[in-house]
Amino acid sequence: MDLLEQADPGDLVRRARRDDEDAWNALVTRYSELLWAVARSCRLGDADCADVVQITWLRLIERLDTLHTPEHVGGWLCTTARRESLRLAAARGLPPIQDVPAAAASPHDIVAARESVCAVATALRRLGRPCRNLLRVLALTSRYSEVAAALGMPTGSVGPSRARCLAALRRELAG
Amino acid sequence: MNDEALTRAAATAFADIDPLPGGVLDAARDALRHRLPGAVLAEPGDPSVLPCGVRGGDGQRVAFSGGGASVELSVRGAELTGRVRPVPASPVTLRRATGPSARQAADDAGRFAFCDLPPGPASIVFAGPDGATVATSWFRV
Repeated sequence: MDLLEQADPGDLVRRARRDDEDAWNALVTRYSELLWAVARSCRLGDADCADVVQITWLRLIERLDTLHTPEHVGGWLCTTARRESLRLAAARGLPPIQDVPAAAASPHDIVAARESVCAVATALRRLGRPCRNLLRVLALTSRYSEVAAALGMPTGSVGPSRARCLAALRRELAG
Repeated sequence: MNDEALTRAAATAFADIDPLPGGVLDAARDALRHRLPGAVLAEPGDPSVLPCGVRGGDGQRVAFSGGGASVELSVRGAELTGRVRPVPASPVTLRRATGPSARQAADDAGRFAFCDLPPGPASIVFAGPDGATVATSWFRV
């Protein structure tokens, strides 16, 4: 299983096409947390996030044999999850993402976070939503193309945004 | 803390604040059993109108096409009605991502209906005009 965890995603797709369950499970393990983060970045609740992750994997199954570039399956999954999330958010009547102000952490949240998690968690809660979403996705993939697909942003802006958000996180940690 | 260490610390914090529920992984692994090798995919004409599982409204309609056949579906609450053209030679199957499938013969006009459906992803499978298996893209009930 260790070897599968390090395998190229394109190889995992090609093996899954031959009904290799271990390869499929390795894909699921590698990307599900990222897909959950994509859905969460669109402000969906737990049930809807679970729904988005499930239907994204079902969409991959229906296109497994016709995916043109299996190597790019990570970006494909992120794009699909984001599209599903935005559709579901619209159906739920949630406002467009750019209209939502950064969520202010309540005193209760802050105390709970300090006590139960750690200083980094508290600082993350204070960050604006765009930075929090970016840092979460960056924590799950180092491929900028997947980050861009996950958050619907140009690949070229991932690096500068990462630097800006890490600086903001440092300021929160210091404050 | 350098950038890499800070990113790792953020990863740990996120995993603690908002962990991926175990059931989500189980459902994702289970998706492999829904693979239908050789089946033709019937895709929606306009993916933006795919039923989204919001209950209690006026329902949503969507049309799929593929394999020389077309399917019109209407999802209203827990009820799914539809019509396959040309009329399939064998019963229509309603697949559910979770739970058992259901089968029903379409009437002379290719119409069918499934009721009392629990929420979740669904797909219609039927025999196309040339005998090939046709499966609609997954949609939400």
